[in-house]
Amino acid sequence: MKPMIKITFTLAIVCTLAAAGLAAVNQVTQKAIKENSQKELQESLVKIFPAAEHFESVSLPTPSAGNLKEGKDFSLLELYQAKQGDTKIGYVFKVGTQGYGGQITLLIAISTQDQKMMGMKILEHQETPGLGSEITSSRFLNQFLEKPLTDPYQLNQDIQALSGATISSKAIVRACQGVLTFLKEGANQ
Amino acid sequence: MNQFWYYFKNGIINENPVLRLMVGICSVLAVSVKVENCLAMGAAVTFVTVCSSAVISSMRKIVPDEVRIPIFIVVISTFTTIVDLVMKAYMPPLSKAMGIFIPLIVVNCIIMARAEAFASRKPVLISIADALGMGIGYTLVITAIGVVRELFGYGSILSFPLLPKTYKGMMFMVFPPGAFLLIGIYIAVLNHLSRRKSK
Repeated sequence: MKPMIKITFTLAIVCTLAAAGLAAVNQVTQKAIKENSQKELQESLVKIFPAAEHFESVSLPTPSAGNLKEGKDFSLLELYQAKQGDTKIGYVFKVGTQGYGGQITLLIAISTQDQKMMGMKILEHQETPGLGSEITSSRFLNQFLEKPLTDPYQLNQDIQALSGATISSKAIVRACQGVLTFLKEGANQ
Repeated sequence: MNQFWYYFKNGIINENPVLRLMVGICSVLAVSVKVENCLAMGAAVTFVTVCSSAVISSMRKIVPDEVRIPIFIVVISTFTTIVDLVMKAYMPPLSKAMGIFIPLIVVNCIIMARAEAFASRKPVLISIADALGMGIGYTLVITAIGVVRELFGYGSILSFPLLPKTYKGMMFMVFPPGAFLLIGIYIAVLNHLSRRKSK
């Protein structure tokens, strides 16, 4: 009986101390982590949509509004309306798509004025370093700069896949198609 | 103090974790594509190894044998989470580049092996020396691999282009087999040198 008490007690104390230590570190870093992601979002919005003067967060319509296939492979996370003065000039979508190593979150900027994709930015990913992680390189992302919305957005037709990272490239193309479907649905209604 | 240096050097050469003990190879294969990642990974692993070894060694007399492994895991994962949070807060670009491999330090065999085989049996200062040697030994090997892989894979070092722009890059070096081959070559070289020395 006695050794059991000692074992339980030691384990409990070690775990409590570890939890306390982590709570303290979390307390200190939490604010900086949150600020980083906020700042990064603001900077990214301005960067991918330089024409816009300010951005307004728009609440997302319920998924049932269109027949957009939401799920593990693709999900619409946030939507921002880009405005120049009072005129609406486009949208920035924050979407999630299933990559090779987990969910990839990215921003896609669409100019409704010019009917073009202004560009995209990868916010978070867990793709293989050196292969899938190249989706963040300008070499890959420049393919989407000022691209007309009427293009097919198909891998190896108008979008060159990254060698060794087909799944990651597919994930990005899927995100584009998801956004385009969403826009079409919206226009029809 | 002599002992301190002995165990410190032991981890770097005689019992180099990657080339001699063959532990912690998974992260070496995965992260070593770019020198920057190698240095960050090395620093993170060294920090976690040193802190966990120090804590585990100082608790070695009160930890009951039956639950030592769970306790090691709690200690190691605590330090790993601290590294992960601190990197996310103060070095966001680097933390993004390392992705999943920072949390995976928890399962890096080097740390567990040193905790079980060394820190739980030896005094604190010597355990720190051993952990420091192991961490630096790991960092040196992973960086040596990273230099070659980044140079031939991307034509650059620390993202600074060294080879002409026309260089297309060797895909083989970007893939894990490149790292496997390099580890093999380094082991052969190290064995050759130490054999010649003992003759």
